[in-house]
Amino acid sequence: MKEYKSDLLSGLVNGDKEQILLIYRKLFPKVLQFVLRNKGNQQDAEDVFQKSLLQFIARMKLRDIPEIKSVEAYLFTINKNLWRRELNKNEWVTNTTLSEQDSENAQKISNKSNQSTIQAYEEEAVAFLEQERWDLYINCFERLSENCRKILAFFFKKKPYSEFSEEFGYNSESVARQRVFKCKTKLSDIIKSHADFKRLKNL
Amino acid sequence: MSIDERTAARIDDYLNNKLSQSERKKFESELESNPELADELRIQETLLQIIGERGIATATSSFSKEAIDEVAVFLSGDEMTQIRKDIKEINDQYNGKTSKTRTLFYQIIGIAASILILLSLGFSLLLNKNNDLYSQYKDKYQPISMIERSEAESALSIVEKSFNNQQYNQVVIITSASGDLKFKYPVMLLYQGIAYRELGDYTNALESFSEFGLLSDLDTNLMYWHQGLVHLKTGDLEKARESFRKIDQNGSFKGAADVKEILDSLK
Repeated sequence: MKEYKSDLLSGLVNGDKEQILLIYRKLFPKVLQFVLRNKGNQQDAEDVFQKSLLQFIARMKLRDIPEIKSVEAYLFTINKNLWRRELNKNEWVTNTTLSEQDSENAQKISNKSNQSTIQAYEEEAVAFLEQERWDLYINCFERLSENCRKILAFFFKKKPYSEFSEEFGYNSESVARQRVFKCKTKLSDIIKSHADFKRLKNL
Repeated sequence: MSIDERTAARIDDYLNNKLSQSERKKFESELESNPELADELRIQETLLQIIGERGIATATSSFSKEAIDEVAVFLSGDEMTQIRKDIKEINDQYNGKTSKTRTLFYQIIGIAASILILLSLGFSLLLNKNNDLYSQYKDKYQPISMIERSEAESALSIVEKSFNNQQYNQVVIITSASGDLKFKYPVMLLYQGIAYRELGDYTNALESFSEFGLLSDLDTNLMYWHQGLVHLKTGDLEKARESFRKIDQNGSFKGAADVKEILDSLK
């Protein structure tokens, strides 16, 4: 049996209603505030919060515990990602679908559920995997030097190279490009060598 | 294997739509025959979403069927189905959608309180005395209505209505989600603190009262009154005395006689 650092964590994993209620009281108002400020309503916040708890508990049961500093902060990140996902949903298309004919596992699910429920499980599974991939990338990013992290944060937020010189004191844009390239290569190598990369890579 | 600087620049240009149509076509045909290049493109694209904070899902988000199957089967299993039901039930209770809301909550609080009382039998007399004081005064001196006619439907009026109907969960939810309104109506924090106290969340209750103290110069005595009651309830008599003494020192509190009585009882 796995051991957990806190009562909250072990309570959540074991589906302890008291701990679930406690996390509602600690975090739900913050999530509600986030959803209301980003085009959602009370019902959206409730749906997202329930999904986040389910995802978190499933993750703890199915995988090793990710390195998290605080359960509340991590759950809030999951909530933000799930809500962004909802907002992006119209543009989102999954390239992989389960079909009852060609999947033994789909058959297992379909024994209990109808097709729309299968799709709902599938969608939850994709959200679960997206969060895992997110954690993998953030974890690898945090292994870079502080300077590389700053350079790449600047780069991926699409700041023009001309601003790099001012921010980092480089003599020219070509120096900035070389630095970005080196940091990107390093990050990419760390990601590719991660044990979970193959399982979670984008197809 | 790492890619060279020129290829990295092409990936950037591709992701930023800077390639001409023919260059784009050529690049895409290379992607089909070069899995390493395709991996690198997906990594850079994902980093752009995550580090660039553009949201988690895109049209290109996809996983292997095995990976999806594994998680979907687990999520549809009996264990997760039961947890799903429990979460839904707690959600409905917390958000006041079933009559069981307060029942479960107060059952939990009740059980916790019972255990506490059993464990601290030796201190029961003292606790009883404090709880008697708390119960005697807890409903006295509530915030005064700040609602104006034009604000009949404002968040504050909903807070006040919920508070008066003893819907304390609702009070906490609305006040927490009201953002900057607390700067305009710090009294919301008083309602929030009292609601937390009624729900048994004394830590958050004290935080709300402290925040109120920072934001408002009015009703400070009222804040100390409710703060003192929390300390009475939690058995922190030294802090309770401190809160009630402050009211006594400040003067002009309508419940000055009650304050003196409490301070006498706490001697």
